[in-house]
Amino acid sequence: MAPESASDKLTEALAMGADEAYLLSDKAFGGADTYATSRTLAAAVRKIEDAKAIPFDLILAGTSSSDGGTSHVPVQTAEWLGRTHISNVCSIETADGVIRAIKRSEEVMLTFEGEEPAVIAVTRDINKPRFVTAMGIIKARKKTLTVWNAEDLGIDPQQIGLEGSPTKPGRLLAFEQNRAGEELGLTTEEAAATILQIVRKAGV
Amino acid sequence: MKAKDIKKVLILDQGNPVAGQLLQKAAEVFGTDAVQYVVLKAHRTHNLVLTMMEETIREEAPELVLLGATALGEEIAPALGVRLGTGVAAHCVDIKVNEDGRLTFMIPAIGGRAVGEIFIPDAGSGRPAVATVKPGIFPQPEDVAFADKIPGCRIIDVDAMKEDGSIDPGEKVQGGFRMTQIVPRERSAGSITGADIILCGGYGLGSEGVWKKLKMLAQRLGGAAACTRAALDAEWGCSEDSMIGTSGKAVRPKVYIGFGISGAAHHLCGITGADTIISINNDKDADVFAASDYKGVFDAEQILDALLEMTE
Repeated sequence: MAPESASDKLTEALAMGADEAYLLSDKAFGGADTYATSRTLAAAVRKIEDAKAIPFDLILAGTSSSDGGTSHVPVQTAEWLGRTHISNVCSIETADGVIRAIKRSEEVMLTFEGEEPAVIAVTRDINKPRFVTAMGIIKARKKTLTVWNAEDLGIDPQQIGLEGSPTKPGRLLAFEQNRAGEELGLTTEEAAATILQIVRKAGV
Repeated sequence: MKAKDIKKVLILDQGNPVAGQLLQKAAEVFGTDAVQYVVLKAHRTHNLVLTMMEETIREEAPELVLLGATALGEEIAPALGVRLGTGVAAHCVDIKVNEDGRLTFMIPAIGGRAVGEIFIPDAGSGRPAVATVKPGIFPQPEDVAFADKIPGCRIIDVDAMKEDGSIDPGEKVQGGFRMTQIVPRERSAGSITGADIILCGGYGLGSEGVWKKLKMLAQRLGGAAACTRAALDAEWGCSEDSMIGTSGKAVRPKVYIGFGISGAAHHLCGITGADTIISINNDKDADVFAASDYKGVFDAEQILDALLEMTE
């Protein structure tokens, strides 16, 4: 779900080997928080699955985005679809219809196994993405990139965008921290000596 | 939702210090006279804790639910948002009551370059506002038995139900996914959480060689080496565990020394709890200086070399 300019990234994905791409784009999606975004994505997933008459065995997502960075969307999309979700996954294997995913938390590595359709959010160390090749780009031209708007999804207008969002943004504020900013010294040596003084005084 | 509408606050205790931090902060912001605090102690896999949280919320009907933004909390909070039809404020850097008496969550915005206000207007008793906060954003209560000081604070101890407190790997979870193995992670020697002195390297270090000097110095001073997101992405060898920022950790050392860090808000959010902040950057206009107690407009490597020499 993104503005039309995101089709570049989807084309790249097709060139890297994806078979089909879908972009959900509509002004009405604007202002959506993760609740509304994930609901919209779930609606698209259902529409694709209905058309293919088969659910996805696996829905993969990145752990968090570079703008909002909440890590919510994969989990919430799974919830709207009524499926298991596992986040922060650093390794996935499949064998004999069983999906094995390793989730990393602060203290432990947890291995989960299951056979049902799941949504898995992966961390940056899941792999190193393949390069886009010239052949990939040529093949991508024959693949479909479908753009859907709110009407195509048949989604209730009150459930999307800012209106469908239970969180509402207020003001944006500059990050403020006012500290003294005392000079450490006039030369490198002075500054280093001052630093050591401060460290010793702090008793560390 | 107005702060005065908050009658009950539920906090998840996953078995790490963040629950105490959340409890203390909430008690400060909302008071303890008219508000009841309930702590759910549950140290289980995310699917089980999610079910327990959902059940507890339906029974207790709090107006506000707080969780640590840990790997567990980050998976539970958004799921609760959908199940309860409510909003979730993620990675709050502050929680407060604004001038109109409204419950206000402050979260990183624009990739961490600014701080944004978030409201959850329709939150109420059956539909709590949910918020996650990283460990270390709020200070640690000095008293370990802090919860005892909060009148009427109730602890629901799910963990106590298990005799030996261990998690059974065979526990069935929803959707047919079973947890089959738990492997403790190696605690790397230089863990930044809880370190009294932290040396942090930013993109301005310039190379892996300079990063290595920073690490050596950190070791000599008995501290930990940390990095910014930009330094992590440069792949000089710092680990994601050592990254300080809104998508990394928040730290509260006695002394923090930053080398080659410009001072982007998403990094600064992670160090506001430091007692003393020292910053070295060769750009005299670096934003970081306004957030530092001591500043030095010098080349990071030269300062590191000088410090290494002085500590031989």
